[in-house]
Amino acid sequence: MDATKQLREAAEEILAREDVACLIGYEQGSYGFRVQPCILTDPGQTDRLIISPLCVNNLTNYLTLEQIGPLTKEAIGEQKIAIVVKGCDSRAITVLNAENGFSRDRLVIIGVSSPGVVDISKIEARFPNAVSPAEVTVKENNFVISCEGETSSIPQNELLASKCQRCKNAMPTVYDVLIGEEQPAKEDVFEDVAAAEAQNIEEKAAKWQEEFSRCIRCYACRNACPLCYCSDCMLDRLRPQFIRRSVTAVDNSLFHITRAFHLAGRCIECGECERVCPQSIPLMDLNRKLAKDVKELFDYEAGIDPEAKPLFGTFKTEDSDEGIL
Amino acid sequence: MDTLRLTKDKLNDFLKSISDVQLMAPIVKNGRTSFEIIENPDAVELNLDDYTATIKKAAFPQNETLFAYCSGKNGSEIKDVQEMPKTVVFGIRPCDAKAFVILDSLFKGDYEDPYYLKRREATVLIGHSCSEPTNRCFCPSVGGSPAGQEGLDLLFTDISDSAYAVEVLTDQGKAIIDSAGDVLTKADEADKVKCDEAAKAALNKIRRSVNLENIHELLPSAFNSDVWKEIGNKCIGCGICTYNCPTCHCFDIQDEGCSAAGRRLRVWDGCMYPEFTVHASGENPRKDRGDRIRNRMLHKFSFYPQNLGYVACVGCGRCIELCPVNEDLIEILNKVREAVNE
Amino acid sequence: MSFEPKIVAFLCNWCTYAGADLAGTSRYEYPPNVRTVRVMCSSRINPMFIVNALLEGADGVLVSGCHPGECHYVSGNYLARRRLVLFRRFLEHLGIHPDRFRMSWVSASEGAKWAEVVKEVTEGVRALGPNEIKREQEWMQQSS
Repeated sequence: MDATKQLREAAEEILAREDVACLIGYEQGSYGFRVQPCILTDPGQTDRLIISPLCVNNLTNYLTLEQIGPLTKEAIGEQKIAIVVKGCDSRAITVLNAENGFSRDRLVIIGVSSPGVVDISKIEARFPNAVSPAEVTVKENNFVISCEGETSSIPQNELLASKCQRCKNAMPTVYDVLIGEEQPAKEDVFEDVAAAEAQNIEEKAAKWQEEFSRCIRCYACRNACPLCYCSDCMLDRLRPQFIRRSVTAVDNSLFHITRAFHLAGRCIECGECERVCPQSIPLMDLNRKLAKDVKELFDYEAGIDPEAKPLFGTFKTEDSDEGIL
Repeated sequence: MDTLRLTKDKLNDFLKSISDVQLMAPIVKNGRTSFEIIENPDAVELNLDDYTATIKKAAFPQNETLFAYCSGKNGSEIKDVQEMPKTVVFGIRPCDAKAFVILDSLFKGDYEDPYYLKRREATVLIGHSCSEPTNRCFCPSVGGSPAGQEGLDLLFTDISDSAYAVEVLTDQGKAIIDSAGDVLTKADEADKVKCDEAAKAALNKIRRSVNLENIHELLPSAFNSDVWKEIGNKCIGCGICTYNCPTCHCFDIQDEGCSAAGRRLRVWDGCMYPEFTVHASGENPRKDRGDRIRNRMLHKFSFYPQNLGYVACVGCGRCIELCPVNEDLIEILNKVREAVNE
Repeated sequence: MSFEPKIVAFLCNWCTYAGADLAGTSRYEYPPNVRTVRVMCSSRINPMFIVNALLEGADGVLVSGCHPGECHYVSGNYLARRRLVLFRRFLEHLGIHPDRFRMSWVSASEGAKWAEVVKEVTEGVRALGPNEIKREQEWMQQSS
């Protein structure tokens, strides 16, 4: 059965439940290849839901966003929130649960197996004039794209988001309902990180100073990240003000270094930070480096094992003493 | 004023003739265009497919030192560190030039902002008309056009594979042409016709539009409507729309330093952040993201037109392209209109 | 005149700070480049302190605490070690040489070790030259 149809049927059943207040899912966007998040409250609205390789957003972000409107305890009391998650997205739920950021029991998780999402900038570059709603489906190793009345078939690897090309989490790690067929996991040996590690120290410094000089401190990366939810964010603090509001390569470095490190052992590699950045800064490079080192030093991966404790909340007496005099 | 002709192979010569001033022009890095002060015009790349680069920084920089001070053994000193070198900005779209006109009306309004105005006076704008509007553009709906002239000193139009038509629109533009010597030639009638045709062709390619009829009264009448909650639900409060919008101009004033030395500076701020309206008491009158979107729409389409005579939107589509969750200004205004008409 | 690095050192109160004190009373000689900040435990160190120190103009940062297993607060240094070993690797990835951020375990009786640690860290930073990734504060200079 078509995944969208399966999803709508499951959603209708779930929204009809007494104990479910609302459902966060995806619906058609305002033009072309855009897909937007939606919050539904009535079973009659479920024909708006879609699931396709254009569904790039990580909806778990809405669970921890400040002032989460319809999702607060005041608004819905003991009722649950249903949420559509892809493989990578689902890891956020496990991390949030482990650190008491958001309890998994408040959710009805509709896990969707994902063959990978499209890199929206790549597809818009191939089809620049899409105004009427476009559709993308998967057929074998191709994406079938219907745009402005024409249909084309393009090999998946030409349009897949780079995170999906090495994805180990095609299947959601936690779910109450599963939509879609079994998807094979791909291999991830952190090739991209190894390539960056091979540069010498001056090249690394030059590269990152250049990247950070383009940052405009819009904080979209922070807001799009499901695991950035401190109500007292270091960026907004004034006493003391560690990170100045002036936008220079050096203060931008402080921002990104600190934010990436605050996500060490918590980042689920959903890639939203990089996707939303209006300046195309390769933020995932930072998070991937940390993920590689976290795995190597502590044998830990964020959001995979539901019983795992937060990385920096625990320790082993035999942890590495690397570089310590 | 005159229309001139510049063959494309002479573009570098033209840019090089702009001497004794700073040149801000588009360059491409990692596939992304940005407008930077450049030393060598060879680096200029008119990447007209990527329209998201910020231009307002030419007169309204993201960090602007208002003054600096230091005090020590030799007493104390206050330094006015404004640098206002003359800057020629080359290759902007007509919508971005119109945005400067809109910003001018504010910064020359009740209070004349000396920082912005000094920079604005020192800025010459050379535009490039659009031949391929994007699927996000909607400038005609807000009174603009792909070959609009408002705010520009010179306007380049692509009239063939080998040439531009250059329309001289102001005295400042004429001064630039004069110093370029014989790099430009006079345009003939055929060139002028091609110029008009290019403008019309581009206009016909714009497919999105928004109904702004009576918008400045319609929006306030919907102030208490629930439609704003629904619109605000998916917003993540990130600030991409405000920072990239060519007419957004909110700013914060920050002090940096200590008793020995420091500075006061102006930095961009955005109304989409919750912190924008937090009071010292902790109370926040615009707590919900829907409230903040409502405020932004009211500002651009109701308060600004009533107070300053312009809709504070140039239809460039940056907010629509860059919003991570597809908050689409056109869709928002249409939804509000629907809610009012029900 | 060779370059004199500025090194900020965060020392835990119970072990390293006492050890450094012992180095002083025992008259061990060591380079004067280190500026010490006393904290109660090495786990007080937020990675932001380290980067901020570098950005404010420090050429190197040293964090020193009790030996693993001997923390005055039982497990503080274990938690600090996890964070800071990872952080050092991360800083290298961003172009900040690992010799600019060092850690050491120095106990209250290890005055001699403290002197050696400071020597080693200072020479390591001296060899790298001044830190370039720092806040430009030209308005800090008096013009006369």
